[in-house]
This record gives sequence, C-alpha cells and structure tokens, in this order.
Amino acid sequence: MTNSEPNDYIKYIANLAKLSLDDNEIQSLADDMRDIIGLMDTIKNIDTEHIDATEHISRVTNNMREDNPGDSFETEKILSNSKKTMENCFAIPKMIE
Amino acid sequence: MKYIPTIGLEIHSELSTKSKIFCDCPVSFGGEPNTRCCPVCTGMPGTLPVLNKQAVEYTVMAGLALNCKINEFSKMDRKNYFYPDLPKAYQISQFDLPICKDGGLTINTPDGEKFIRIERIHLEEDAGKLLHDSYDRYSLADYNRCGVPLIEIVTKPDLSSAEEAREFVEKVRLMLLYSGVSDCRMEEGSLRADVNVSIRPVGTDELGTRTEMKNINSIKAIARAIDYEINRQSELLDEGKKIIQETRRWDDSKGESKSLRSKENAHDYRYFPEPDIVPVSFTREDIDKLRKSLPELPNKRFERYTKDYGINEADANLLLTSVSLSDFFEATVAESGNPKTAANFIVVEVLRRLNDSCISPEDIPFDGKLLGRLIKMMDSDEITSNNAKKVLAEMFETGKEPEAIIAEKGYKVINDTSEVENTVKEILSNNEKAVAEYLEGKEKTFGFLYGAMFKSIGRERQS
Amino acid sequence: MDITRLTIKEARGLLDNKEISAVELTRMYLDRINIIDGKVESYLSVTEDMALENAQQAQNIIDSGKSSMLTGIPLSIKDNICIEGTKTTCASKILEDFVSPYTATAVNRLLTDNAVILGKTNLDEFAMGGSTENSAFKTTKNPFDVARVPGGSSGGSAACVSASLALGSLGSDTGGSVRQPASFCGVVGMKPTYGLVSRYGLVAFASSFDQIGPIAKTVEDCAIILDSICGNDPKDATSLKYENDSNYSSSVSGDIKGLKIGLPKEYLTEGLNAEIKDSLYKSIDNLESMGAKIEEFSMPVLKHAVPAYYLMSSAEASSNLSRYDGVKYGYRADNCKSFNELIGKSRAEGFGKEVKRRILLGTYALASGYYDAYYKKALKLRTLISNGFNEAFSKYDVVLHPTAPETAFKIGQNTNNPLTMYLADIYTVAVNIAGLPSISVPCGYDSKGLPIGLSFTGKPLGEKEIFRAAANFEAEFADKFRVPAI
Repeated sequence: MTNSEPNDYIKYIANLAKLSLDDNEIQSLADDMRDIIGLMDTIKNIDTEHIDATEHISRVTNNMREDNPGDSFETEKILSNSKKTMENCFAIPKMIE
Repeated sequence: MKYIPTIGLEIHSELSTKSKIFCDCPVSFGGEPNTRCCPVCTGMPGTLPVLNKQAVEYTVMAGLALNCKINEFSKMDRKNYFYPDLPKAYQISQFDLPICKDGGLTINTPDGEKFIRIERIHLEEDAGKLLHDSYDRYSLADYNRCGVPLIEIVTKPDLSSAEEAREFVEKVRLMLLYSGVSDCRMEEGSLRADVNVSIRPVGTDELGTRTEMKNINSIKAIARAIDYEINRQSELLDEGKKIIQETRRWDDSKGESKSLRSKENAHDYRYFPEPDIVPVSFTREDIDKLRKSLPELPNKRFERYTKDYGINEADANLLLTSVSLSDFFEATVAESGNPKTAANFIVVEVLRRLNDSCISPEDIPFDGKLLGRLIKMMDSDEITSNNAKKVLAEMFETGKEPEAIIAEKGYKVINDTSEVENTVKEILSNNEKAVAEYLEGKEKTFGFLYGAMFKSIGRERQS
Repeated sequence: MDITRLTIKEARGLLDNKEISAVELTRMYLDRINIIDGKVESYLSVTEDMALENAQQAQNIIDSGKSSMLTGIPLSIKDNICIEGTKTTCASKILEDFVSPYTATAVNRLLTDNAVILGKTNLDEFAMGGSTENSAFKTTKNPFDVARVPGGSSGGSAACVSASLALGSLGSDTGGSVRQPASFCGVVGMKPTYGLVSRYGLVAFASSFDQIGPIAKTVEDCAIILDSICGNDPKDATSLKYENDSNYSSSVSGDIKGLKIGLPKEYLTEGLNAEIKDSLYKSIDNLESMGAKIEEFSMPVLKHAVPAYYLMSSAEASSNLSRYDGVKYGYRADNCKSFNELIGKSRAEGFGKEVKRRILLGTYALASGYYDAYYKKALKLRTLISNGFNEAFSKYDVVLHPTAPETAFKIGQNTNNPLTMYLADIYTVAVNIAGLPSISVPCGYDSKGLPIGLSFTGKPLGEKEIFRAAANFEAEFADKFRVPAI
C-alpha cells in the first residue's frame, strides 16, 4: 500500500478477503488504511532477529480429546440459520468449475 | 524429441478414526446429507476445534510405516481460502511443522529398485461435498465429510513414469492398510491423489514447468492421467509451444484433462498458526510405543512369505493385496503347516471364487483355519486334491466345516484295503444273483455292483 | 432497597433471608430496563421469558436451601456470547437473525449456578471498537452523560451495570473491551488470564487474545462471577487445567501491606490526560498509605504494543470472520448468480466499516510477501512483551496503570478517526498480548464528572493478587463512589 497505486493494493486485498467493495468504499478505506498501515510500519525497523515468535500464547501442549464418537445434531438445527436450503443441504448458486 | 518426466504426488488418505478430527461427530461413509454434523464441524460462530488424539497417533503410525522421522514438536495451521465446501473458510492443516517428515519407500521398476522419497506427512481436516447435479441453478453443500481426519503424504518429485506412480501409490496404500490407520477405500474417496507432472528433454537437467491435477481417486486413473499429461506436454514441446503452470482437472471417463480457469489469488493461502489448537509434542517414548503398536507391515510379510515360506514373488504379492486375504493365509498356514500349498490354493482357488462371485476377501464365509484343516487332510492323503477343490466350493456356498462336507459327499480316500475287501465280499455275497449274471457275461451288472460298493462305503463313513 | 447501589453480595443476602424473591428481584430489573434502557440503549435483546423462568427455578433452589452465590442473581450477557435458542448478533447485520443452536460454556456455568439471564447487551460489531458506536443496531449511551460513549466493545455490558440494569454482566476482552468500558462507566471490569475461562461459545474475534470477563459494581462481585465461569473446558483446547485451591471471592479479603507494585514509565508519557494522571498519583498515594510499595520501572517495548496488537488480532480476525459467507447462516445478499458474487456481496453488505478495516489489515498482514514484515514481526514483539512482563513480575506482585488515556468522549467524536481509536488502546492491549489478568476499578472523576479507571495487572494466574489489591483500593475509594444520574 506504500506503492504508487495504493487503491490497486486495497482492491487486491479486498478481493482476497472476499469483500465486494464499490469505488467510493475502496477510496474511503484506502485513506483509512494508509494511516493505519503507517502506524503498523512503526514496528518494521525494530531488531527482532534473534527473537522467537510466540506462536501460541497458552503455553500448554497436547490438549487433545479421546476418539469417542458422540451424537451429531439434528439436520434441521444445522440448517435452521441458512437463508436457502434444499434437500437438507445448504444451497448456493451453481458452482461452475 | 525424447523427454524425461518428473512426477510428484500428494496422496490424501482418510484416517480410520471413529469420530471426526475436531468434534465427536461419528465418521462413516455416505449417509443422508448433513446428518453427521454439529456446530463445530459446520463452523458455527463461537465453536472451537479440539484435536482427536487417535488421529494424531494414526498419523505418527503412518509416518513410521513409511519410514518417516517424527517431529517431536508440531503444530496445526490455518490455510485460508473461500470455497462453499469449507464452512470455516479455512482448512485446519499443517504448514511448517508437519507431524512426519523425510521418509520414503522402495519400489520395483524395470531398471531395478528405486527409493521414492516422502517429504512430509501432515494431518488435516477433510472438506464437505458439493452436489451439482440436482438443480440447474443451484449447487448443494453437504457437510457430513467436513472434519473427517485426513493425512496428506507429499513425495519428492522422484517418480518418472505412470507405472512407477502406480506402483508407489499401491505400496503406500498397502502400508496404510496394514498399519490399520486407513481403510483406503478409493471408490469412497478415502484415498485420493494430486499429481504434479513436468517433463524435460533427455540430456538436460533443468526441470520443466509443472502442471497439477487434483483429486484423482483411483490408482488406475492416476496412471492414466500421468500418461495423458506426459503426452500432452511432449506434444506441446515438440510443437515448440510452452507449458503453462496450471491446475488441470482429470476426467477419467473421457480420458482427458482440462485446464481449470486459473483462479486469481488461488495461491495466497495466508497460512498462520492455528490459535485454537495447542501444539502437539511427543517424547521418544511416545513414538516408540506407537512403533511397537504397529502390526507387521506388508514388506515384512513379503520377506517372510518369499524367504521363509519359499512362495514365489508374484503369489506373495497377490496374497498381500488385502489385509484380510493375507490374514486368511496366515491362519491357513498356522493350521496346515504347509505355506506353499496354502498359497497355491488361495491364489488359484480362493481368488478365483472371490472374483467369480465378486466378493472381497474380508467376506470369505469361513475362517482360514478351516482351509488349513482341509489342506492338512490333503497332505495326509485323506482326500484327493480334486475333491478338496469341491469341498472348498461347498465351503464357499454353505460355510460348513470341511469334515462335514467330506462326510456328506463321501470324499474320504480309504487307505485301509481290508475295509474295502470286506465291503466287496459283503456286497458280492449279498448280490449273488448279480454276480452270477456278471459271470455269465452281462457286463452291465458290474456298474451296479460298483455303485453299491461306494454307496456302502459312503454310508459307513457317515455312521 | 436502593437498586442503584445494590451489589451481588447484598442481593445474595436479601434472597437468602427471603427479604425478596428471585422473581421479584428479576421483575425489578426487567421493569427498570423497560423504563430506563430507552435512554441508555444497553440491551440488544431482553430475554424476559427466560429470565422469569430462570428466576422461578432459582427460587426453588433458594427455598431448598441449596443456593450458590449467583442463584437468582440477574445478569446480562454481551451479544457475542451464545445462548441456545436466542439471537446472538455480535451487533452485526451479518448475524442479525442468527439464533444459536448451542450455549456457551461460560453461560452454561452461570445457568448451572441458577443465575438469571436478563438479556443480551450491545457491543461494537464483533467486539471491534472502543465506543460501542460500531454496533449495527444502536448506540449505547454512557449513563454518566448520555451524549457520551460508554466505551467498548463491551459498552452495553458496562452501561447496563452502571445504570443498574443488571447486577453484573459478561463481557469479552480482546484488547481492553471489558476494562475500558468499565472505566468509562464507573464500574469494575475484569479480564482473566488467557485460558482461565472457556471461550467455547464466545464468537471469535481474535482467538489468542479473547477472554470472557465479568463486569460488576464491585471487585468482589466480579470475583463471584469469575468463580462461576472459570475452569477447564474440554471443548476449548486452550483452556487451562488449573485447579483453584480456593475461590476468587474469598481472595478479596486481606490487606496489601508490603505488596510490591510496579508502574511502567512508558504509560505516563504524552497522551495521558492530565486529570487522569492526577487521579493516578492520588491513587498511588492511597495505595502507599495502605502499605503497598510502589516503584516506577521501564519496559520500552510497550511502545510497540498497539501496532503489534492490531496486526496480530486483525490477522486472526480476518480468518475468524471468513466463515460469514451468506451460506450457512447470517445475511445473504439477494439475486446472486455465482458463489463469488454471493460471498463478496453478502460480506460487503453485512459487515460494517470498522470490521472491514480490520479484515483488510489482517489479510494484508498475512498476505504473501508481507507476512514476515508484519505478522511474524508482531509475533516476535509478543515474545518481547511477554518477556518484559515476566521480568517485571520477578520484581513486583502487581503492575499498576491507567485503564485509558481519556475519559468517555462524545458520541461521534472519533467515528471517522480509526487511528485515534487504536492509539487509545495503549494501556490495555499489552495485557492481552501477554495473556495476563487485569482489573479496572473506578479511581476518580474528571472535572466533567466522568469516571476514571485504574488497572491492576497480575502475572499469569495472578487473579488473587489483583483482586486483593483492587478490593483494598476500592474500599478506600468507596466514599467517593458515585452513582450515575440516569
């Protein structure tokens, strides 16, 4: 977003995040993002070369479950929040591959 | 021009756990749509995944069977992409610290043995199924398969023909089957492969541009798809054209592959450590324990069959094509003490019957022990090999014990001549009239006397 | 009985002594919500039927003499925590109609203790924000001044407790979302150690930061709620297997003579409002007079906490919020011809602007080519910040700091200035980065009469120390405690 075509990058990111934004929204978000990325850039030059990344905060390992099957939910309950279902499935516009 | 193909595989295999990888929904093939689902595997807001320990252990066992090193510390990562079969819009998988790495298997090629390296095996969740055929304007999403545990076995690009790939996948499949971690039912999609193919002219070192074919779900199709792709690429290069790096879809019924429109952003998966699942760590002891729990693998059995039992390699391979068949053979040998005859009988007679009646080895209606007893009787000349085959046929039909069938049919070979003599004498004295007629030259009556004798011996066997 | 000063502890006494029934107490709150919440707009939904049913059941328990601390106590729940059969909207258009098919573990534990659930409270959409203005449905007002924000993102929870529309509330705290609104609304808000309270059923914003925490009028009330909701949950793999040897509510007693308190210098620099600074120093004087030893220390890496927090939390959020695609639940754009159109439009129309900013930022931070410079770098800062706190806790029992650099601001004042909002999280986010427990208690009022909050932060699982320190401080402050005029 620091390059000469900032909105192109916003468009790329928005597309990656599946947000269909119109031009006005792109413009206004691009303005916000410039400031925000500017704040984020303040950490870029900190020397962290010999620092390990903290990938998990909980500091425990192996918290697993035993392989005991239980009951599934009623199909009706699984589908109940969907705006479009057919034949006990979630319905979406036809996928063309 | 002549080209050398370079082939790499990513083999996906569903694990045989009883419940899904992150929730306790039962795992089983098929079922009415969305009946094996819960808020966790359908990605409802607020739900969290909890890793199935058995799935992790099966992955370790698969790794050990395939000669991999086990990472003592591994973690799950999120692979982010949007597709309607993936309810969370990310797949929980493993990125930089897979459970297994650096393994491989030796395969046989026309040029001798060849070691195919396995780069890694990681654990991940399966996606749901999309149904496209019911409606013109809609696709339907069924999430029953969401969260079924999968391993992905990634090879180095060490394969150089469709035949090698076929051989390798077949070997991997057997290893997974024998280690008990997967049932590898390809027709149910529980074993499927992505295939990467590139070619380069003979005499050059630089690898060509590769293409990928995803989700091929039979071993034959894998081989066909590779051959097709090698030919396609060769023709392009022969015509001086370039190969485009792309994902193609193999249509096995048409025997051709088609380019999938290259999806923009398709490859920016934005992997990052899965914050909802804590890392997995193993001690040496954990790994040793799992190693010890591995059943005898097919390569060991092969060695035993060929070296100790003296069975030829072709037969040994046939016996090993299924765990059930191999176990059946083991039981037969244990009972009969005659591995060669057992192998011969199974490879010829049992397999023929299985093929004829389209049943799989696990559905043989009797125990290998019973065949062992039959072979033992054959070995001690209590029954002829011809009759033994008939008994076997009957065992397939009725599941009865061989002794019962032999008795019923009177197949027993009588070695005690005095018994036969006594019977003959008895028949002759009971049928004086017929004897007299025979002696007068009526040859037909011999048949009558002969039949009566066998009837008598048969009856005696029954009592 | 003065409902505006009633605490959980006192209500417990009234219920157990049969001076009031659980149903009467619940009705009192429901009536008060009817009359006053129109002004505060703290609730998104009031679950009256369920509340009365809970209350009746609670009364049966009380009558049988088996009540626990929360039996019959009316509470509210932030609307990003699921209760089966009721709406959980996260104050987002994209979940406007979502009815949860299951109940969050923390709520289940409250229900097991027969607490009464009055309803679901307003928040910034998906808990992203510090003013509750990012709600798609309503703007909650600060009970101390209805022209001002209640803080956020648990602004509905803090405002409803402040306005005595519930005796306590469950909020969620990802970067200060319980503590900052508590400080804006003059109540107590507590963020537990990461993993102490199950996140199962809390709609994820940033999984490695989110914790459910209590908001109540007193430190002891917060401890009482925490006693009910804490503890290992097999449904949350990040939940700790920590066995508490005594309950938190009993840890509020005891003095703080000799308690070593550290004050990070980096939190006292420019940006901190003078009146708040004043109030902080007065509080320090009070704590010293109680026998605590207070010392300034330096932890330079704290300066980077805000960008590190926003990179990591937004990265996680961008992934957590990907599931809202219009297929399985939630808002679905009309007349879409393809899946891509459906998902793109549903998300663009369903999410508000701040959520989009975070999704964009998080997607950017994880995108190929940027991961190392942003996300990975932030993870390394996470290590440095955790190490910094470890070092501080080798010297101090508790770290003291302001909760927010400003008191409640005017509604609309910062709506178009996301950067100002982000920077205002300076004192709260480091706690979440390191997974520490922290509690904000009222410590004074500015010249406009707006509450100021003071935070006590503890080492991992150091809840008891911070409860005790905060309770001692609170006892000293009790005379000055004000009830909002709403």
